[in-house]
Amino acid sequence: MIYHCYGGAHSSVVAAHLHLGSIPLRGKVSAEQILALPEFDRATADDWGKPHLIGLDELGNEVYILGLGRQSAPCARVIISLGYRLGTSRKTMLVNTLPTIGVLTRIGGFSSRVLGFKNFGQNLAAQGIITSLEGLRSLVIYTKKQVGGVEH
Amino acid sequence: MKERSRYKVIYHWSGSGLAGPLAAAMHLGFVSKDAEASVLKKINLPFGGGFTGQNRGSLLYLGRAEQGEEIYILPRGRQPELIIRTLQETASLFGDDPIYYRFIDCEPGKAVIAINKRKFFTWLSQTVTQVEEGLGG
Repeated sequence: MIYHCYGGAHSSVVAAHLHLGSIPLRGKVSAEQILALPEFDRATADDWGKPHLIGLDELGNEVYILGLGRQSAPCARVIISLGYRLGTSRKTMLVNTLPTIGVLTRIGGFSSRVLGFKNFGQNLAAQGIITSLEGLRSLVIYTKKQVGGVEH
Repeated sequence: MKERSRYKVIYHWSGSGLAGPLAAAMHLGFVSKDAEASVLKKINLPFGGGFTGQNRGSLLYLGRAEQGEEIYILPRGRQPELIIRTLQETASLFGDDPIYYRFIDCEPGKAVIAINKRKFFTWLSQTVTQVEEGLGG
């Protein structure tokens, strides 16, 4: 299970933790909970293209995060076509989390990761995640249903 | 032969034109490296028309060379670094060893092809020969 986004630092991180249960799929979540995630707002451009293991879900599926910059479509294609060739495509699920988040997280991420305004950017990105949380939760619930990991 | 069959040779280029498919065809022996550039007018090279942007990143397996290595083409757009890094990292994740992956950039020839098709053909055939020699052939 690979959750991917632009930088691999915000939406994919939260999606992976929603998947693993360290952030709940229902109920309120605070900005502090988001900021406390060890991978939140950490990845740099050097990490792009490298899947990072976050943990194993209740079914034993490995859950990864991945930043693909502006090349998410060709990079996703290269992963899928390599999977076809190596016979792993049935065991791999790529989930793009970027469409679920809004402008607040994008501005926050840009402020922190590119402009270097860490505190301001991190807090803004976390607030943005809270605003977009239902979209992320829907995506994760859908993803888990695909692999039989959630009953609805 | 056994060791060489573990290698994957990936000819990558922007996706525009025929550089990658032609290099792969030379490596597979479909086009002779000693041929005249005019041979390109006589054959219908598979994938010789290039790829659209929507196919960038699609890794295509074309066959196994006589010495055993697998031959691929990869249209990767104008910025290959991230796509190649993703491919290498994912190969490890999928249980394959990227040490056996050989990425061959066919794009520098584009500057040559604009001037002279024959020079481009020669440059590409030399590149393929170097790749084969590098694998121990």
